[in-house]
Amino acid sequence: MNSAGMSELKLVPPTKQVRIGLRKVLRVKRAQDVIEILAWSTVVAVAAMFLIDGGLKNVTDVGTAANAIARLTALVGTDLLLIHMLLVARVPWIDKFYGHDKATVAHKKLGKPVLYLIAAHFVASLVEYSISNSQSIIDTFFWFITDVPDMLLATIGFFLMVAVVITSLNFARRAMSYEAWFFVHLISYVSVAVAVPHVFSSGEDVVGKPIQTIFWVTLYLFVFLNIIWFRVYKPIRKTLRKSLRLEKIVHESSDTSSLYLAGKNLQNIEGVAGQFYFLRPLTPTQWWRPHPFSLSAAPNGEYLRFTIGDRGDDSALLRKAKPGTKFAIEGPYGLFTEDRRVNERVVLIASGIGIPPIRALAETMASRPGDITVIYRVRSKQDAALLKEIEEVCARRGHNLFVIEGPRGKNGSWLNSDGTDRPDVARLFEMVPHVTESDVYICGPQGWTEHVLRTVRAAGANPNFIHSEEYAW
Amino acid sequence: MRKTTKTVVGLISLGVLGASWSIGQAAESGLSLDTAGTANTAGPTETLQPTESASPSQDAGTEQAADTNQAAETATTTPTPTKTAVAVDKSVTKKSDPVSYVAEKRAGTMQISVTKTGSAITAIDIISGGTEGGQWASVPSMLAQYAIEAQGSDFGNISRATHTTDAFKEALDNALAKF
Repeated sequence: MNSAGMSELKLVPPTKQVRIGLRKVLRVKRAQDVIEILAWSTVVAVAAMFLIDGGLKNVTDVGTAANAIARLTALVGTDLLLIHMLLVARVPWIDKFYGHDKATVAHKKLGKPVLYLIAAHFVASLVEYSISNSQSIIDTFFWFITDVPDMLLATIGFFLMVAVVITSLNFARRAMSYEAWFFVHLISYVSVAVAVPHVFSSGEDVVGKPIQTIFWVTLYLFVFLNIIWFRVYKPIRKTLRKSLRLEKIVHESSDTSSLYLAGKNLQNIEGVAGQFYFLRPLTPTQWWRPHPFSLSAAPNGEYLRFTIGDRGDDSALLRKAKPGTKFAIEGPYGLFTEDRRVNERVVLIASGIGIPPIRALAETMASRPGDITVIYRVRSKQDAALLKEIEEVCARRGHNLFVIEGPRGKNGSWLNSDGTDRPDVARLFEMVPHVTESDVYICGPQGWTEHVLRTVRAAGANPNFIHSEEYAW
Repeated sequence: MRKTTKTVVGLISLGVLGASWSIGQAAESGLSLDTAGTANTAGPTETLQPTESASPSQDAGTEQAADTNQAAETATTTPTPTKTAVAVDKSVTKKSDPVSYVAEKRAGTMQISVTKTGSAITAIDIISGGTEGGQWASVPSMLAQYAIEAQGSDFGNISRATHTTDAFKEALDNALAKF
C-alpha cells in the first residue's frame, strides 16, 4: 500500500491566519456582478448601435424584415459567441470569481443559443438576398458562396460550427471517442476564425462605420489575446519552467494511485490545497490529452502529489506511466480552497475519489484542535485511498474524524446504514453539532454530492457556507 | 447577478434600447445621400424630373456619335425619365464602358447610358448593375436623379450603397468623357 512509512508523513505547516467573515462573499458577488454587467453591456451596446442606425426603421416588407433579422442575429450571436469562447479560455479574472466548473457550465449553456442566432443570421441573409435578387434560395446560396467575397469561408465556418455543437450534445459526446471530440473542438476555433473576414468586408453594421468597427475589432482582439495568453502561452511557459517529471507512482487502493511529480522551481508554484491542475504526460501518444487531477497534498516545494481514480481508460493508462515521464501542466484551477472560508469551524466531507482535495485541505487549513471535522465515506476501510494519511493528519492537527464505512444506506442516504433508520440530518448534527455555523466542503461523485448538499441545506446551513465543485471541462 | 443589480441593469438596458430605438426612428433612413447638399429627401423617389429642362439657347449638340444607335431604349427595371428631347437641340446618348465592381454583398457590372441635350444631362439609364429589392430598388433611380441634379458625378454618397454609388459615378464619368 503506502510506501512511505507513516511516521515519515511530511506535512506542510498549516495556514497561520485566515480572514473569515461574510465580507469576502460580498466581494465575490460584487465582482461577479461587474463581470456580468460588462458582458451584458456588450449585448446591449450592439443592439443599441443597430437601433440608432435605424435598423428597425426601414422594415416595411419581408425582404427588409429579413435584413433586420439577419443583422441583429449576427450582432448578438457574434457577441455571445465571443463571450462563449472567453468562458473556456481559463481566464483567471473569470475563474477566480466563478470557478472553472461554473464557467464551463455557462459555456455549455451558451452553446446552443449562439448556434441558433448564427443559424438565423444565415437563413435570414439567404431570404433577404433571394428576394432582392429575385432568385430561389438555392440559387442565392450558390451565388453567395461563388460570387460574394469571403462568404464561402463564412459558410464553411457555419457548417463547422453546427458540427461542433452537435458533437457537444450529451448523446453524441457519449458515442464519440475523446480524441474525436477533442479535435472537433479544436475545429471550433477554425470555424470562428474563417467567419471573421465577412464581418469586416460585408457586415452592414460594421463596414464604413468607424465606431462599430473599433468596437468589433477590440472585442475580437480582446478574446483572441486572452485565449492565446492563458490557454497557450502561460501553460507552455509553466511547463517549461517547472519541467515536471514523474518521480514515482504509489498505488493507494485497488483503484486509486498517487503520482509524485518532481521538477524545478516548485517552491513558487501557485497551487494550494483544494485546487486541481490539467496534466498531460508528454509521451508520443498522450501529449495532447489533458487530465484534470486534484492535488492530494499541499505543494511542499519538493514535489506535487496528485491522487487519481481509475475512472476510465485514460486514468488506467496514466497509472502505468513510467517514472521519468515528463508532464505538461496547466493551472491551478478551482475555488475549493480555504480562500472561500468564512467561519472558524469547518466540516470536510468526502466520498471515494473525492478525498484528494479534502486530504490536502485538512493538512493546511488554519485551525485549533476541534475546529475541523472530517467525514470520509468509504466502501471498505481496507481499500480506502489515503485513509491512513487522513487519520494521521487528523491526529496531528487535532481534527475530528468520522470514517463512514460500508455501502450507502437506503432512501438516498449519503451515509452508510447504521441500523437506526435515522435521517442523515440527525446523524450529521450528531457528528457536527455546530454544522450550521461551519463552512462545509463537499467532494465526491456528483450524485452523492447532491444528497449531501440536500442534507446540509436541510440542516439550515447558509448557502454561502457550502462549497462544492465538480469536475467539468 | 444579484436581484437588485439585475433589476437595475434590466431597467437601464430597456432605457438604453428604447432611447436608441427612438433615435433610430427619428434618423434619416438608411438610404440617404450622405454629404451632398442637393439631396434633401431620401425616400424612394419615383418621379425623375430633370431640374433643368434643356434650354434651346444652349448649342453645341453637334457631335454625332457613332454609337448613338446603341443607346436609347435599353430596357431597365428602374423607372426612367421619358426622354424629353426638345426639338431644337439634338439629344445625344453615350454609353459608358462596363465598370466591374463589388458592392454591398454582390458583385456586378455597372453600365449606364447618358443622354445629353445640349450641354445638359437630361437622362441616365442604368443598363446593368445597381440594386434591387425592397428599399434597394430605389437606389438606381436615386443615383440617376442625383446625377442629373448635380449635372455630373459631383454629388454625395448614398449611404449603405457606397460601392454602387462609386461604380455609378465611375461609369458616369466614363460616359461623359465620350461626349
